[in-house]
Amino acid sequence: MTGSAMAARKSNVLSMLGILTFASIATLLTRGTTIQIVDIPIIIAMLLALLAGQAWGFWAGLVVAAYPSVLLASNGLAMTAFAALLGPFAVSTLLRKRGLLLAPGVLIFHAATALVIALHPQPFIDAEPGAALFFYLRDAAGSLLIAALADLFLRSFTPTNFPPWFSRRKHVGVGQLSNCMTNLNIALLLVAGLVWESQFLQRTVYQYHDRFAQQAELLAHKHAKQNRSITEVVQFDATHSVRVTIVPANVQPSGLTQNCLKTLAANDTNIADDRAFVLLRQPCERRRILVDGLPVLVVGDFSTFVAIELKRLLRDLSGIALIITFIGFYIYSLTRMVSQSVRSLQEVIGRFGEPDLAKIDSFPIAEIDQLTDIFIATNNRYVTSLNEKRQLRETFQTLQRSIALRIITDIRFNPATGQLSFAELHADDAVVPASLTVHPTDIVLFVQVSGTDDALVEFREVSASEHSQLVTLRRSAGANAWHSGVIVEVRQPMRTRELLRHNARLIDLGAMASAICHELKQPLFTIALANASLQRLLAQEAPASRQYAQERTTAIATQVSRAREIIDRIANYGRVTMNGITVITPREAFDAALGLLAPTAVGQDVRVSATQTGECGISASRVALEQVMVNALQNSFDAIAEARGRGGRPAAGLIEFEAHEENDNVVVRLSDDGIGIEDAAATLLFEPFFTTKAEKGGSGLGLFVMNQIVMEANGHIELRSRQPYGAILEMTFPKAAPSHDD
Amino acid sequence: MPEPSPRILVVDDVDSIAEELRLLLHMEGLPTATANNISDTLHALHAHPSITVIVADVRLKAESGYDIPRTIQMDPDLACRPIQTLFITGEASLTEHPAQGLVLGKPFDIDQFIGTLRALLEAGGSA
Repeated sequence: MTGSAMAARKSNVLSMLGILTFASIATLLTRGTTIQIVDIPIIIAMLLALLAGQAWGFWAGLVVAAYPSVLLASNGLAMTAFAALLGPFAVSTLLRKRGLLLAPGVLIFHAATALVIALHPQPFIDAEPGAALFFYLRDAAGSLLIAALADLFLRSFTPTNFPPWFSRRKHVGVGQLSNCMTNLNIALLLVAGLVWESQFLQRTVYQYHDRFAQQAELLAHKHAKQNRSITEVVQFDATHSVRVTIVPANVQPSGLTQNCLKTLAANDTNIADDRAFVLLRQPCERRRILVDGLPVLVVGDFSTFVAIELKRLLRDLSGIALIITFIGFYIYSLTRMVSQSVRSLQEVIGRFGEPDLAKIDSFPIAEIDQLTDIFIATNNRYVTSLNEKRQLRETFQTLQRSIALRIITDIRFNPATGQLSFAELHADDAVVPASLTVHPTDIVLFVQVSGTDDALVEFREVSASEHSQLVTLRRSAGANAWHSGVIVEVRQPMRTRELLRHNARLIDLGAMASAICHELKQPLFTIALANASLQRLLAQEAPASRQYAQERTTAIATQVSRAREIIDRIANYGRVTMNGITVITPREAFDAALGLLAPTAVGQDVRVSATQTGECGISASRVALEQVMVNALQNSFDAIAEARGRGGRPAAGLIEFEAHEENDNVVVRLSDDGIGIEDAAATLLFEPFFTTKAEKGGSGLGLFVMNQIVMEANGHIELRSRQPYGAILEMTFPKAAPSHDD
Repeated sequence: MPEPSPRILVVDDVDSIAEELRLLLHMEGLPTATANNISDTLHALHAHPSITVIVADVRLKAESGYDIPRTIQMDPDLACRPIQTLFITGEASLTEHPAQGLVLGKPFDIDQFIGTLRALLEAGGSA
């Protein structure tokens, strides 16, 4: 048997059991019927069918066992059960497709039974022809109602609909809970209804037995003779008894209307007493009596009886219906409110992740409303922080793209190898170890800030010397170690460096301004003199003047050229250019520099000698190398002037330039016999803005820029003292590759 | 016609300037000799006793024109000769604060220069 079939069978069994129970209770309470021997086979048969789970067997047993009892005896249980069970069965089968064929059959069976009851004379139904049928239908209708409700209640106890305390499931749906509450409500109503019925039931007995009246009269007579008021119990029939009260005529019995009284004739032969007394001669239209402790309304004719019964039924049904409706409405409202709140909550949860989430629908249930408020607040906080995190990540990525931003921690620097090691934070929160190698010339910059808590270093990597990088180092973690920092790429260092050199050249030119001016004045003065002569010649108009005039104009042109050369030389030197690399010899650069500084050499009476051995080709920028030579020469001039100025050696004044090849390198030496250099300054000579000539307006850029230029040409520069006097500037460059044109 | 004796000596380490000055002064009727340094100056003074005015550049190659008057005084043959010296220079600072004597800054006004020379010659002649 499949799961659903099992469930259906279980449902049927429980339903039938419930119906049987309710029907029995109803019968017992309403009729006061006791279970008799004839009921036992019926019960056994039905139970057997229930246990077997066979609905057909159940019904068949009922029909076979109960039918004879119904027909032959006044068996209330059989009657009621029969009517009750078949009734709801018919209803439920009518509602189910499978039962469509069955239901009419059941109904026909019902009708046939009723007809048989109506036609067969039974003590139970002795008085009126239609009374038995009415009783059957009345009992059937009442029990039908009770049983149908019971069926409805019990059928709702499907495995999926069991109430929480019945089933072992953890979760209960609102709908299921509502159904269980409704069913329980109905069950309680059933019980309440039955209790009501049993408590306040006013059975209406149709007085259809005339023998009752006769017996009552006889009894009255008998007691009347004794002249006393007695309460005599008269056995009415096997199951009912009537208590008759006989009172003297002068006493108005309570509860009796005038119409119910009858005065016995004094000469009634049955009565020996001459006193007048009241006798219940005939039943009144309607009067109340006690039957086994229950108040009973006795009516005189059938139509009154039916009317009263129907009224009572309707009243009871209305009461029950009202209560059911009221409670059902309450449950429905509650269910609706909960369902609405749950739907609204579902709608809000469905929009999880939306920014500025807010409620749209209503939340009738306060607790769910509060829960939703908490959810919305949490969602909005979460979305905000998520957005902030996303923006931070995007900003970080943008900075990474634009300035190669790197956020680093656990920074360690090894001065021996120039290795800068750190842990780099990535945009996806990963922390990855990384390192880079600092250019040898920038190693000292890191060493200088070792141990400081807040440092800023601009440096270059060995692998990318055309770009500078800027690193901030925070919170010293020991020697050459820091906790955290940031690296960014300085994207236009070339320009900066070029500008630096340009500034250095301008400063050089500024220093040479005096000499430049002096040098330019010579040709200008010569031109002026020649021009003055020309003017006088033109005034003379002598024939010999023509040749003289031509010689003068030639002299003017020569001096103009000379002046132009001077100006061009200065302009080239001062220009900001990204000069291309070319093959140049140190001698060429030195000669150009010497040409620029010639006035200084002459003015200071400094002898300059220059020698170059071999080809000595270097791959470098022409302007940059000339700048190096200018700086070197200028420094030598200054050193010589200082040596003389201190009064030590007026004879100082020799600058020697020498260049030669050495293996794969070109070695250039420029030595002077000037003041020399101090050992203390040796390590700082090539630092930017370090100068020993500050009071003379030294910029401190000369040697720094020279160093940069030499390094860019992959060379090396060194400045050291010369013995006994002066200094030697030594530069080493790699030899340029031989030209393929050779 | 023989060349007249020079009355002016131009001392400048730049040949073109010395030559142009000589030609110009010659056209002005002022015969002029030239020299490039102090040594040549002394030779010229010995050779031409008619020289009474010296036009000297302050900055000679390795010498200073300012040394010329002192050097002349140290020469026994020249110490008594009345020689006046006019200094010319390309350095602006020397014209503002002349160490000694009259200093003209190059390039100077030619007419003013010639006028000054004539005045010096006349003063020397009358001395």
